[in-house]
Amino acid sequence: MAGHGPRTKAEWATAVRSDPHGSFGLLFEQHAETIYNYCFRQTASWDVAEDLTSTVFLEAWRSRDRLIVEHDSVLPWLYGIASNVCRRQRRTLFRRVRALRRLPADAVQPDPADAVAGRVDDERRMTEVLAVIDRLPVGERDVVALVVWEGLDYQATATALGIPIGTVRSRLNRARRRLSTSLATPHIEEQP
Amino acid sequence: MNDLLPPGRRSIPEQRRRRMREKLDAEIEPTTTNRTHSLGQRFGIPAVAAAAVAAIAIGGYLLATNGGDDGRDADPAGQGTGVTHDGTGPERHESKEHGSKEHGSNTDSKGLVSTPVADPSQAYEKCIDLTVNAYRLRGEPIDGPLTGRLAIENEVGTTVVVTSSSDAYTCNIKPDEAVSRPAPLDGKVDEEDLWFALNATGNVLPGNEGDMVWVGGEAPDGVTGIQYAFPDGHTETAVVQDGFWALQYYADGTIPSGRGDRIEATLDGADAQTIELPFTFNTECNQVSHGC
Repeated sequence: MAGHGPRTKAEWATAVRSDPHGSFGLLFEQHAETIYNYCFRQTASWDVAEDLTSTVFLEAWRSRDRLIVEHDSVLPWLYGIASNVCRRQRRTLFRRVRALRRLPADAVQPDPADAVAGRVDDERRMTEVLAVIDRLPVGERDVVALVVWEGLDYQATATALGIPIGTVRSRLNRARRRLSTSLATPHIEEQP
Repeated sequence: MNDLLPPGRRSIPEQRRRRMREKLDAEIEPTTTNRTHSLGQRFGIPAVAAAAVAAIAIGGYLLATNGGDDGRDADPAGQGTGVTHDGTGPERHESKEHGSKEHGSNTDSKGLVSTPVADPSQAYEKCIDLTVNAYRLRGEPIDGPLTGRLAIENEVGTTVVVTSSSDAYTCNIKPDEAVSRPAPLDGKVDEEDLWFALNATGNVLPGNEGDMVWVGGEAPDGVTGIQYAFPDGHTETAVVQDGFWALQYYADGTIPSGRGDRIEATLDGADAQTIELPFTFNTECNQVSHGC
């Protein structure tokens, strides 16, 4: 697998057929870190994000017949899988997170073995952010995460979530309105 | 404003990155040695070529050829009848021998009853639009115009089945907007055709993170009724009408979907059987929306 790797869906099909380890290995090496950070931003846990990142690439392999290429990139497709994987995880975490939030801040002690200060700070910070973002309906939350945090354009977001581009715009607008009437408003740039 | 910005990015710890990669390689390995036959099917490569790649997997080759386009019904149900792209004039699909019996008086955990939509033309039109748009986004063709077949509704949801000349597509048009993967119109009982979609309803029922399961398609030959028994104890009976079926279940909360949880899909009729559906990415993600 030389150079940048496959670009079109046909090239991916050929690459996966002739060199599945190489092609999906490249996919992993190119995008694992992006998906890892995305999963963290969905769950506020680096450990969970690691598990989910692994799951995303396993699911990508199992779903390789449905691979989508958007502007020479499979990243929107991976984001779509990650959104779904993380959403399922959130359902599982939902009650646990709510329970944790009810505890006083100093009652949640990190495992000393994992007590890397920066990671713990990140998780605390991300939990606070999600506490606000989770007030949004799921569809709007997904759009905010992809457009605002991940920097995807509207078309890539539409591809990732399998929704029309107009729905991306309307969900973003609704999210902006909702957020502006709650705590703070994130800086959401209008795209042409 | 800064309150909603996430922390900065981090790298994956090297050891864990290596473990992820090993897991992926391990997943790929058995597929390439034992299931190579499926590659042709997955990427639309002719079955003969796929068989050449997987000469040792003779059983798999047979599966691939039987499950491909050649195995589809040459005379798919109702081609050219009913509501098509222009959404006009619902026309009853010609009743198939197994499909005239109706089921549908079922109640979910909120006391909701799903019944056929009295005038389904708008529901068909909506589903057809969604399907055309979703598959256009994916760059995947649909065989011929779409025809509305069945629409069911209750107070929370509406689920619709439409068909092309070769496949059935199911949409949830309320409370969400999503479209299933295609299921071949072949009249066969195929476990994949029972795979379902599970959507969180928080985006349309704000503050409520309930789960909505929806599924439907062509009723397999001889099947007169379909029930899904969920891990939360609820059993939902599908509406079966004129050779098509649809089912939706709104759980006022989260349906248990852990490693050991199963949905039992029971088919009544000539070929009565119960099929267990674990919760996996495939079984609970039978849609082309929401990243599935």
